[in-house]
Amino acid sequence: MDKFNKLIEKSKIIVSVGSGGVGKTTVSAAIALEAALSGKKTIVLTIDPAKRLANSLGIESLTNEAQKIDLSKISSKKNKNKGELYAMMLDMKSAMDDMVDRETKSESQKNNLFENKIYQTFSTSLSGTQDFAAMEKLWEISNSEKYDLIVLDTAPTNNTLDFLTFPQRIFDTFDNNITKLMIKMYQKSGGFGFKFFGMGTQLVLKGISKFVGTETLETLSSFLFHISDLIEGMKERSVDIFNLLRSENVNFVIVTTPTPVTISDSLYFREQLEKFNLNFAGFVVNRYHQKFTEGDAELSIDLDKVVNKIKKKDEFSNISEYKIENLVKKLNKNLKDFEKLTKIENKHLKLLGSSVYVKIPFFEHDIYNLVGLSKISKEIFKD
Amino acid sequence: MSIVEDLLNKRIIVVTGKGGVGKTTVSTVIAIAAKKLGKRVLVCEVNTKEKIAPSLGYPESNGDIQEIENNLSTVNIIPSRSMEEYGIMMLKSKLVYNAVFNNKYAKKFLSAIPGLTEILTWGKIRFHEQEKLKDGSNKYDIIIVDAPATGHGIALLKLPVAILSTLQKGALAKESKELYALLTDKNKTSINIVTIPEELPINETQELKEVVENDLKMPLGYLFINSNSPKLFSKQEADLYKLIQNMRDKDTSILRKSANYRLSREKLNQKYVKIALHHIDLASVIFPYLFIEQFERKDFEYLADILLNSRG
Repeated sequence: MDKFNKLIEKSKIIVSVGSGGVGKTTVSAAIALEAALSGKKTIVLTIDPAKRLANSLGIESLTNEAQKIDLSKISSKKNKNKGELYAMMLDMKSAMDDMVDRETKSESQKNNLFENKIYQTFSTSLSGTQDFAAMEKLWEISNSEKYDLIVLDTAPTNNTLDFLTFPQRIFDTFDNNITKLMIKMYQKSGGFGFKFFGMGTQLVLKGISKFVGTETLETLSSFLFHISDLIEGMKERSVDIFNLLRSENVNFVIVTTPTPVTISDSLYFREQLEKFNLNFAGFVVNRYHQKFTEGDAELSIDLDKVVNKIKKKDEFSNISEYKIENLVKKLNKNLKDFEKLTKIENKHLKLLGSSVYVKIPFFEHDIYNLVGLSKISKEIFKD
Repeated sequence: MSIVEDLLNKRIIVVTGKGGVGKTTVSTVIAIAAKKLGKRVLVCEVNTKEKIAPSLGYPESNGDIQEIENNLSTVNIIPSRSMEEYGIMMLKSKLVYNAVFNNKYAKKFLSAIPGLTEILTWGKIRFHEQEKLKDGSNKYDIIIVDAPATGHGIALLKLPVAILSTLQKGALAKESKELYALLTDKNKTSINIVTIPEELPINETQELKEVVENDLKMPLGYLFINSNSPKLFSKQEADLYKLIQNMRDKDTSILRKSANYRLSREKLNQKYVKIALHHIDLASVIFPYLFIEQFERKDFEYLADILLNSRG
């Protein structure tokens, strides 16, 4: 099976997707670290403000400027290839503002948008805007050609890969007659009015305004009017971004955990990637419970034998056999619990079918430095 | 009145927290606990793949409230459905509603109005909060809302505040105002946070708590700490266990390896439970991790009893 060892070599961009809480950010950072250690100039872009990730990279906090990570903490033998690692956090608000800044044609239009309450309140929380902003930044950094490899950690999602459907959703909104009407209304009256329209249209508009309130429609029509000029630019840009994402050297990794819910989400993500003709490189299964025994053989421990061995030890001469038996029973129960867990997880993993996947064990300690992070890289890229 | 009784006397219990920490499990546990106290319970999932009714062995509710057991109802709130219910209520006519909203452009347009789906979700919850039986008593004593995980599960809570800062007049603003009044009423509402005893979730829980308290000014209820590694050994057993550390035979080694793994996880969990209890000043209840494939009725009952016996 072609595992992940070629992934870094063949990629210019690696995008990691997955549901919340699976450790996506850590996996992204581990992939980026491995790439840097293999000699590539690498940047990891994350939306997660997690302090520990920053700390594990040896910096105080991530900012929306690229920060160079000091790899000297990792032994120089490992970094013999002289790669470089950078990390950067995506600030959605400024990414969105940057885009408006770039796409608006006049100062007044820009200010109108920045002052619009709908823009202010929802520019960063509208579903999909985060992803659009992330894609924008990806495009920008990719075009700057400053890095050999970009690792992008996307926003957690539970149902759909929002960034895939966002362009369509935004065009649906703007390519529809009511939106066009709203914009016209704003243009014609310099404010707002129904009177220019036929009876049928008036009925629909009045119904909507009764439903959401006239003021809402006013604010909205102003917002739509001012943003509509940006739409052409955004459309072109998103076509470019999609072409970029589909290119041969862009690979998607789905991060998951071995639980039924995240696996079923992940299978859906894979379907989406395929539907959009994006290159799916494989699953990274995080938090997997490893077996404590070697090989596949079913374990059987002779508990009596263990009890007898313990009894013979000097330290146990004063301790009742009953207590020793109880201790051994408890140890065995614990072992069985974990074995059961591994079995359940393996069963769930079968759902991934013939797809490529790698497993990262559920570590019993926090990852708090580069060495810890490199332990994860090692698991992802082991042969 | 104990803290848990106080919680279960609220009308709206919101269960929030980041993705993957077990919000739905906790919502179900609260529902079972409330039912045990004789309450009439409605538990709502929001526009998601429904889990609550199926995990208790019943078919999905699919947008229609179903009373799965005496005093226990479930529903999956689907915004497009709520839009229709709400629209008919507002326009006072199904005919007018159909003329307006079955227009496909109107539909697309409405789906693009920011926050509309969330407000419709709340509209439905508020509607059921006010529903009465023939004898004038509340149809549901308690409505549990399993909040979606987006943005730490807080998008839904932020919505009325966001709308009120955008709009002052009109139907949406009025709806938001009434909703905000309900959500900030400490006699009626309780916002509960679910977390697990690991670093990231605990940090985010602290942030979440501060947002609810300071920005949203909504009344906080319990902190649910889920999936805590149960204690493997008693003090005496732990002492005995130390004595076999140097045994090197294969069987004992395997037993020790798995025990040590468990103890490390236990220690890590304990560290974050301690941090949570110390830094997050809320009544709290700790649920043990269960080595099971799927939650069944008896598992929910087990945790419900822990909740009912908790002292906060």
